[in-house]
Amino acid sequence: MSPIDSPAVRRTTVWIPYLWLAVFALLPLILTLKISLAQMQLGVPPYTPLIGADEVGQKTWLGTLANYKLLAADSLYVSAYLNSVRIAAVSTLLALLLGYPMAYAIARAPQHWRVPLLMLVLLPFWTSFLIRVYAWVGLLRPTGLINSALLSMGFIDTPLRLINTEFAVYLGMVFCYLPYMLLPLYARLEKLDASLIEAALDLGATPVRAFWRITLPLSLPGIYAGCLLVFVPAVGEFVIPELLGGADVLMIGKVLWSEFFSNRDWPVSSAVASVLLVILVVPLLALQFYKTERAP
Amino acid sequence: MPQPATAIEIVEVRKSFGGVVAVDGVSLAVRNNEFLALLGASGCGKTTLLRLMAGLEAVDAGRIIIAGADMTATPPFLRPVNLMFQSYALFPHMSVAENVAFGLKQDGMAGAELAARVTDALELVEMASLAKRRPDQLSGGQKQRVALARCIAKRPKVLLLDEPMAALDRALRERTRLELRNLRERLGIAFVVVTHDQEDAMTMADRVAVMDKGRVVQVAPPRELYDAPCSKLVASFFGESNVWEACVSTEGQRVDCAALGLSVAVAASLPAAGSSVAISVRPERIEFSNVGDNAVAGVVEDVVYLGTVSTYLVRAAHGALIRITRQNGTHPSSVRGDRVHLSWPASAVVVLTA
Amino acid sequence: MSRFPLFAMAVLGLGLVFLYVPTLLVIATSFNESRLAGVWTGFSLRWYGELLNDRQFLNATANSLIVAGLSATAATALGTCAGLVLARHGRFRGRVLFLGLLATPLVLPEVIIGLSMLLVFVAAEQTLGWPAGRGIGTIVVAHATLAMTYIAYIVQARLTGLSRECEEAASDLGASPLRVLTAITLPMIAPAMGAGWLLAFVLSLDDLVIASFTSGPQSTTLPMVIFSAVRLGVSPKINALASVLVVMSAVCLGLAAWLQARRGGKVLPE
Repeated sequence: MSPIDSPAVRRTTVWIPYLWLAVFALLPLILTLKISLAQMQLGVPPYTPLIGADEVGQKTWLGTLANYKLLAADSLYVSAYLNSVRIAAVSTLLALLLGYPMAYAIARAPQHWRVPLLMLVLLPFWTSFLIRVYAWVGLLRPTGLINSALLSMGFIDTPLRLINTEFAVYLGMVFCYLPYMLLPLYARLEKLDASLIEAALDLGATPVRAFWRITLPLSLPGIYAGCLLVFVPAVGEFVIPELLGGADVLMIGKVLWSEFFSNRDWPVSSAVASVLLVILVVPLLALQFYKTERAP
Repeated sequence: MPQPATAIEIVEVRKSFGGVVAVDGVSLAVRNNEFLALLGASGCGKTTLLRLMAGLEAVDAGRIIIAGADMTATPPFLRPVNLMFQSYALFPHMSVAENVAFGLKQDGMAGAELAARVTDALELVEMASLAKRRPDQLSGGQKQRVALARCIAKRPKVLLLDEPMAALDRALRERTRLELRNLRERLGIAFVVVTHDQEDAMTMADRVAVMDKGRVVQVAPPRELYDAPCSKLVASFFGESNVWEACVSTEGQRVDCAALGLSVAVAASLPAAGSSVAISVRPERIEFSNVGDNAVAGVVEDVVYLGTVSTYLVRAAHGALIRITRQNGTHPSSVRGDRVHLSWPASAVVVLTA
Repeated sequence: MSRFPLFAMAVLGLGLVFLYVPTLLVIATSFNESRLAGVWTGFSLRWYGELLNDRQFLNATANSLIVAGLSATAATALGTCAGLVLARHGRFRGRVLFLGLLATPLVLPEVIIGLSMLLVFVAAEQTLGWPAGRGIGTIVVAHATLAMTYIAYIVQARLTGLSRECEEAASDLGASPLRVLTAITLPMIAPAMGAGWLLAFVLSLDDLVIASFTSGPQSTTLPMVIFSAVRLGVSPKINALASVLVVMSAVCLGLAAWLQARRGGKVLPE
């Protein structure tokens, strides 16, 4: 019994954040599911009620699955979902391929270099996300730095099409989410006992084999965590496909945004969000819980 | 006000953590002005018992009476006892003086009185000159002194110490043992110290409570524990001992020991003939001689030289390994392979029925 | 053994170049006098000067700073409570739900957080009459919810690193539970709270998506201004603005690192 476990203190520290989360984390998701069953209407609020009363005051259920039928029927939505998963998966893989050697190098660097190197890698995470994406816009557009440089050096005659491509989206994703990949990988690799690898080498394993049989298997939890941290936000990403992908790269975050801000169709936006929530986030959350609750 | 006879009385206290029993029906009385050691291997429940006294854990059953008042349900901050933590638990964001003043301030003390009490406590542990330091600027021994000062500044009825020597090196340990004993005499309050080190317990304590599996096995002054342990566990935990299984013989005052191949003469009273017992003989009570109440022959298997004494391991003809400790230079020393005769008096045999 | 680390070191170097060069180029071009990015015509503070005369920019900056300050403070209070719960309360009823809800801001895409928050505000306005329209207040609430998770984890990490014994010792020395909290626990986690506040500040300053959903007509924030300007094309003024933001974030990071690096107690004056 720690002193701060005393009933009064305990109650306060639990209930304040609990209530807040219930109202601003749980309720929003419930409302999203609810409004996804409504229809758009002109007025305030811009959606129909789910329970209406007819002339005699009889309550009737007005909810409808029409929005979900629309999502299933229109190939735009289906391909947006599939595209999002594909682009997020490829981005995650690219981030892993770049991030693993970086994390490994930092973890194997001399002790006094590790923290400064880690800070150096994480510093961009603290500079504005939007600015980092914008920096790539400046580099990649037809009159941007890369094209200007290549043109002026005579390598090309007409500007390359760099922006508004999937390539640009991958670049942006890896650039923005690399720190999320690096941090768990580094945490894992740094804890890895160097003597294990030395033991493997001593027992006759080649360095490559020691890496495959010792380092890689032992860093799997870090890989898993890093991939999850990159994949989940990447699936729902809006800013990167919007600014770097242009009209050609369809992702679900963009669809949701335009349903809401351009079409002002709140119920369809909610349905898009609900599907994203259910098919992607819930399984991942469940998996995460399964892991953490069972961990010793 | 008449002083109650006991500083802390523990009555049938039980405590378990998630099904694991840590303290299993312990009753124990700590007398006024007594230095009591709780001795046991790690996991025997001794630290839990100490934390129950301090109120940091709540009992599952039983009562805790401190200075005559039932404090079973009293929270730690209202109990007139103070605990010195194994890690010392000095507040890292406060200076030495602020650490010592903390407890006094909780009683509403302020101004000159507070300053005087802090200085007194720090002088008592010879730390007054470092009052302005922060805990991370102190050595391990200095931290321990500050933790001690912080507790005694409150003038508790009982001072509880959790493994006070654990973090100290050997030389400092020996000095600190004597200092703690002197401190207790000067303060005139009861000390309860938890330790896993029998030397700590023997050198400091007036009485030692040996704990095993959540129970108190024996409470006695160190000498009595050594000379008359009540069980095999106590005999082996408290100093070195030769312990053998035996069976009470039909002849009077003898037990039959198969391992020694000997009917052992015993001075102590014995249970009924035929009961199984264990006998314990301290290594220093055995002599190289063939005359005595009990004598066996054997071969020296190993000799360990320890400076003032040597320990001999002798294999008896029937297979028992006998440990003997002899002062060096008082007799012709034996070497490995020597055939020797061993003997010990009946009074050296302790009969253990548990 | 040596070949792989060498390769890894090379990737690390390239990765760092990849991470830094684009942003540094933006800062560099913000000092370019020319309107064209590819042509350097000379050093100039002209675009910074234009920023200072831009009412829309100044308004948005003020809005962003107010939102970031308020939401970071709220998030620190909420997140510290949640961190105490995570680190010190063991198991209690509803713990799994608590953990799950706390993790939502980390695992949900921003568009979902933004949209669902907005729906709560609209529903609350319909039924309770509050909040009357959306503005600074609603963004603050949304950002505080987002950031409290990060702070809870930072505070939890700090608390788990500190032994409970200091709290127990204080209690043993006569401090009531509330005194233990205010005199021992909070001062010991103060550096974590400070670092968490700064992180929350930066998160809020940086957020476009959630702010877009939850803001009202009078509460445009800096990222929203930048976003609509970037959609129209790159302009030197945005370069200058971007540089200002980068420097602001870097200052916050420096402060946070300094707070985290200091040992627990030294933050308090003698």
